[in-house]
Order: sequence, then C-alpha cells, then structure tokens
Amino acid sequence: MMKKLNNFSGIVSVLLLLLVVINSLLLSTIRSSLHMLQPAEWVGVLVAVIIIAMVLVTLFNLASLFHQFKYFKHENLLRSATFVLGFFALFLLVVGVVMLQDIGQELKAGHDSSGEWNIIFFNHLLLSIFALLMIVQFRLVRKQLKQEQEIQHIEKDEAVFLTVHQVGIFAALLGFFCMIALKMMGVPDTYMDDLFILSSVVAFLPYGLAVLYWLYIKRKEKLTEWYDEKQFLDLSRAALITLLLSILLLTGIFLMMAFHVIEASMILWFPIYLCSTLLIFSVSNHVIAHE
Amino acid sequence: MKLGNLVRKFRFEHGEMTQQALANAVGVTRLTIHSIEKGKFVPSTLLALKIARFYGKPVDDIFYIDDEEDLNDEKAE
Repeated sequence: MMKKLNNFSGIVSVLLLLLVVINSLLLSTIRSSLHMLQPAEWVGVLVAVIIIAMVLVTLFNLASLFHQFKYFKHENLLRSATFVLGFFALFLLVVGVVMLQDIGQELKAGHDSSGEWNIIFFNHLLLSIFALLMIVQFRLVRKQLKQEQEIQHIEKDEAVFLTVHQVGIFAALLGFFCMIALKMMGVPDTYMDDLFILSSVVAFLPYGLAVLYWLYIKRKEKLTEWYDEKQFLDLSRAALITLLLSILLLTGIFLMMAFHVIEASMILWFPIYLCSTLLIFSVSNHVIAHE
Repeated sequence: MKLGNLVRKFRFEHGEMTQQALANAVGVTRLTIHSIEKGKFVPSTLLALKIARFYGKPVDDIFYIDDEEDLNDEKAE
C-alpha cells in the first residue's frame, strides 16, 4: 500500500512540476497580452483546468505526507517542512484564483495589478519547490521502504510527538515569514491587519492538524500515559524556557513599540505572540528530546 | 554525583536486543532508553525497577553511583 501510494505520489509530483511550468507560461502570456488585447478564451479555460488539477495533486500529496507520518516510526525534518510548505502553497493557490478575478476588474478600472501578479507567480514558485521536495521525499521513502522490510513494532510512539514539534517550528517560521513578506510587499495599511491575521491562521493550520492527529491517536490512552517520563520532563523544561524567553522577547517588542523604535499595529501582538512562543517551545522541545 | 548504568551492556548480552525492543518491554520511547544509556536522563525508581526486572537482576547490578565523576571533578578543581 505504502509503496503504491509513494510511487503514485512521485508521478503526480512530476506532473505538478510540469503543470506549474505550463501555467506560469500561460499566465505570462495572459499578462503581456492584457495590455494590448483580450487573451483567447481557451487560454483562460486551460488555466482554470490546470489550477484545478494543481489543487487536486497538492491535496493528494498532502494526504500522502500525512500517511507517511502515520506509517514511518521515525520523524523526518524534511517531511514536516514539506507538509507545512504544501499547506501554505495550497492556500496561496486559492488566493491566486481570487487575484486572477481581481486583475480583470483592476484593469477595467485602470489600476496597476503588478502586486496581484507577484503573489500569483510567488505561489507558482512555492508550488514548484513543493513539487521538488515531494520528488526528493519520494526517493527517500523508496529507499527507506527497501531498508525497512519489516517495520518494527513500537509500543510507545515518539515519531508523532517529534513530528508535531517539527511542524510547529516550520509553522511558526512561516508565520514570521508572512509578516515580514507582507510588510516588505507594501500592502496598503487598511488590508494589513486582516492579511496578518489570515496568514497567521493559515500558517498555524498544519500545526493544528498535527496536534489534532496526535490527540486522535492518544484518545484511548489515559492522560497519565500520553507521555513517557522523559517526554514529560522534556515538555516541562521546554515550557520553562518558553515562559522565560517569551517574556524577555515580548517585553523587548513592547518597549520598542512604546518608544516608537518600531511602528506596528496593536493587532499584530497576537500573531507575534503565537509565532514566537510556538517557535521557542517547538525548537526547545525538539533539541531537548534529542539530548 | 552521577547515576551510572550498564543498560547498554545488558542489552547486548541479551542477544543484542535493540533500544526499541527494550523500550517496548518497559513501556517507554526509544529516545528515553537512548538518553538513559548516554547518562543524560536519570530514570524514575519505577522505570529502573522495570528495567532490572526485565533483565532478572537486582537494580544495583544495572544502576550505580558513578564515583569517578566526583573524582574527576575534584581533579579538575
């Protein structure tokens, strides 16, 4: 089952890469022809079909990664990073569809639409990176399957526990990346707060899913059996580090805002708090667990 | 003062059993066994007893106080 799923995932990842290249070329054609004349209708239809195919392939690949989390008994940093990136690329793909609809209206109103195009092409770049990572993942899984002819029975799981922290690290980094990227892209202030909140929610979704899955596999165990004694100690130490560092970090940010060293909206507090505490907690847990 | 242990030695004497197999037998994760063997994690009394019972030995055959650690500290001073 795993072998077949992995092979199929490898094939559709190559397909995804091809679709991204074709769609980028088509969109470039549309972009250049918009200024002169209306692009042919069939080009628009083809772009729509390709986007639907890309959404389906990305969804399948995310499901395949989820299956790998369940199947393999050792955590994998690259797998966690690919999962978070894929999730974000999927979100941006949906945003891209909205942007494409907006571009038509912007053009009619005579406004500049280069910001929208940048987001669409950035999304295609992310999707191509995701497809490449999935191809690397396909090769790694194939190698792992050859080595592990018999998957060893594991009584007390540690892979999911560590994977949740890895996903947490990448989700928090993605959250910070979104904040910095939005600030640098020069999005109008009126949209900024909403976009910050929205991108933080999207960045946190993979982490939420990973935690939910972990809770799901623990549902039949007593609360006292959720962790073994070292995991419990690791969590306690990571929680203490998080408490101390987040107080220091957030006091620093508060002082910088109070003395106008940095200018940021008050609504940013919550995403910054979430991202920083999640990052500190996940990194410290991951490091301590491997001591 | 440090707690030393011969978990790794006993594991190899028992048919070169894996860390995972011992972890399954005493109900902890493989990383916990790994950390005990490295001396990075001090197990609870219950876990030490479980490991000792698994090997059919008294606890102090497997776990001991590492006096050499103290001697090394004194030399360093």
